[in-house]
Amino acid sequence: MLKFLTWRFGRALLTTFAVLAAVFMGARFTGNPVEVMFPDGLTPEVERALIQQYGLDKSLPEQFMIYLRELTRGNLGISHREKRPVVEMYAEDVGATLKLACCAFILSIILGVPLGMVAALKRRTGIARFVMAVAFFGYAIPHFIIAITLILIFSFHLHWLPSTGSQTVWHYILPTITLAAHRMASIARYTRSSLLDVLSQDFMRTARAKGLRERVVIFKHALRNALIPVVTILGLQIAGLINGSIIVETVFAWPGIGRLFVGSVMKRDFPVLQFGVICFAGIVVLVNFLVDILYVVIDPRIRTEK
Amino acid sequence: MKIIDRFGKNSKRDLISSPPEGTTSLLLPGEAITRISFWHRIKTAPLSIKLCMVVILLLAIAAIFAPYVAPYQPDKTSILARNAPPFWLKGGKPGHLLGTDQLGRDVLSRCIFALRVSVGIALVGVIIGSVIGVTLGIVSGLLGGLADRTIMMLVDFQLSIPFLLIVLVGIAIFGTSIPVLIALVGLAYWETYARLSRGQVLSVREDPFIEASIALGATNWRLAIRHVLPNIASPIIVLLTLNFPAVLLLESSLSFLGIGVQPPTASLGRMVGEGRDYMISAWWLVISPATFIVLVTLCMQLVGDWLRDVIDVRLD
Repeated sequence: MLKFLTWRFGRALLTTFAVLAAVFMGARFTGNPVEVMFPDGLTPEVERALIQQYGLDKSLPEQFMIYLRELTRGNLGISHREKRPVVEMYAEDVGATLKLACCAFILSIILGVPLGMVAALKRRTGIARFVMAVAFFGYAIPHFIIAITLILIFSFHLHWLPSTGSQTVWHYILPTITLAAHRMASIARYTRSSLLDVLSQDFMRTARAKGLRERVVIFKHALRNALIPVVTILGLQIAGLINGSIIVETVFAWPGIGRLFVGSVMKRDFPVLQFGVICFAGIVVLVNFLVDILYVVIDPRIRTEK
Repeated sequence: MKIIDRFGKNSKRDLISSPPEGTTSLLLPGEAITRISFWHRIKTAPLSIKLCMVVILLLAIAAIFAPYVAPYQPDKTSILARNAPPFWLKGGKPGHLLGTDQLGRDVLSRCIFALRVSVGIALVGVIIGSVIGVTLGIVSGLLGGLADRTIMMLVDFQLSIPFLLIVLVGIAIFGTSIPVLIALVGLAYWETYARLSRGQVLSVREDPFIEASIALGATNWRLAIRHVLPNIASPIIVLLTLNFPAVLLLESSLSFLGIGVQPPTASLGRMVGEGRDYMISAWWLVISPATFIVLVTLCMQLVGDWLRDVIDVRLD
């Protein structure tokens, strides 16, 4: 177990390092930083002085070390556009993103797992086919089309729900559904196939043969085993959730970091963009590591491994 | 005539050990037989799959022959016929089947040309991604050792970073032009091809015919091109079919956000994005291109799922 976790931890560190290095190199590709900061041009003397001040005349590895040092101090640069620290900008917006993402994640689990179970237990019935058809649509239709369709129906046609902003509870409904649709569909699909696998195992027959009630058989014997692979999928869902957030926040004008990030791409505000990448990649790496730990907790086979 | 499983793992060896009845001989290359079996597969496919194939075929024809199929030039404006709804609604103009936009451009014609752009980008993108991925996968599987570990580390890295991030950074650095967009969406999903082809190489490598060709002095290069590639072709085709809608959606999403295909070129995602501003008064500007996107992706996904089941590929 310890070996497994150390290995995973090492991998998480390595990935983080690779992301930082990639972002650093990416920043170099954008051209001369001094020209980016002062697009109107400078006299050669001032430019030379600035290059010296920012340490741009040092070698690349040296610059990378400075970059890492400043990173640990929380100094991640100042937005070209807004002239304030990017950390501050992200700190303002991260709450809205987390709230929305958590709502969507919870909704997708509390709908996805039972739907997948129904599809597996009532296999070959109309209900199961219907559930899988819905899951298929949720999976194959892109976020922005779901969003636009929901807005057209519920905001413009029925006037039930607001289409943009995040002030009240009502504002949460459409973005949450949009963001949850994909996750729900894939969780349902995974739960179904995993449960079907377990249901055909020998210990299921044993459990029934010894006279256990069907509810105990399904929930204690089948579901607990079936959910192990589903948990690993949850980790991968986070990457999808971030992809989704970026688009959903833009469509619904949600004041979160996804929208901030897309805005920085359009305005080519590199410090903001850079911190966005570090942020998102950090979340993914962290969550994947947490999933690894969770995996150890729920699967005793790994726990007892030497 | 007996149907031979073209895609089955052991098809080659079965042919050699026992020529099935009705086929002439094992001296003939398998082409004549396989073609029949492929047609047979399509003929015995469920109705929904056949329907999807017809839709894909029609859309492909429309995209290829766009200038002949579209009733109008995509950029031709007509001030008198602005914001006309589709023909079945009140105020619709019979000449404009799906209505017109705020500049009086015909929505159907724009959709057809946009389909051409979106499908074209996705097609080139998938080809780039599969070539890179398959090459790396085969190299990784055949050489093993350091090359294998490096490539698999890259795959791990790719899996743990949301691809949209990489694309957005790429756009911020290199700007929004169609070649950049194609290159970026082309890189998407390369790791799926790499993992699949590596796995296939590892399993094919144990087959006696590989051993035989190594014994005959075949180089790695020859092994890869002549022996491994033909054997892993069918799962790769399945993966291509399944990745195509995903790449198309990536491009549409970017164009929808306004950081993909730039005006005046129309792409389906871009049309949905532009139509958003007129959604209250002219919903067809959004719904028409959205329907095209959904049609293409749903049909491709269904056909891909079906192919995967028929060919029996495990993709995980």
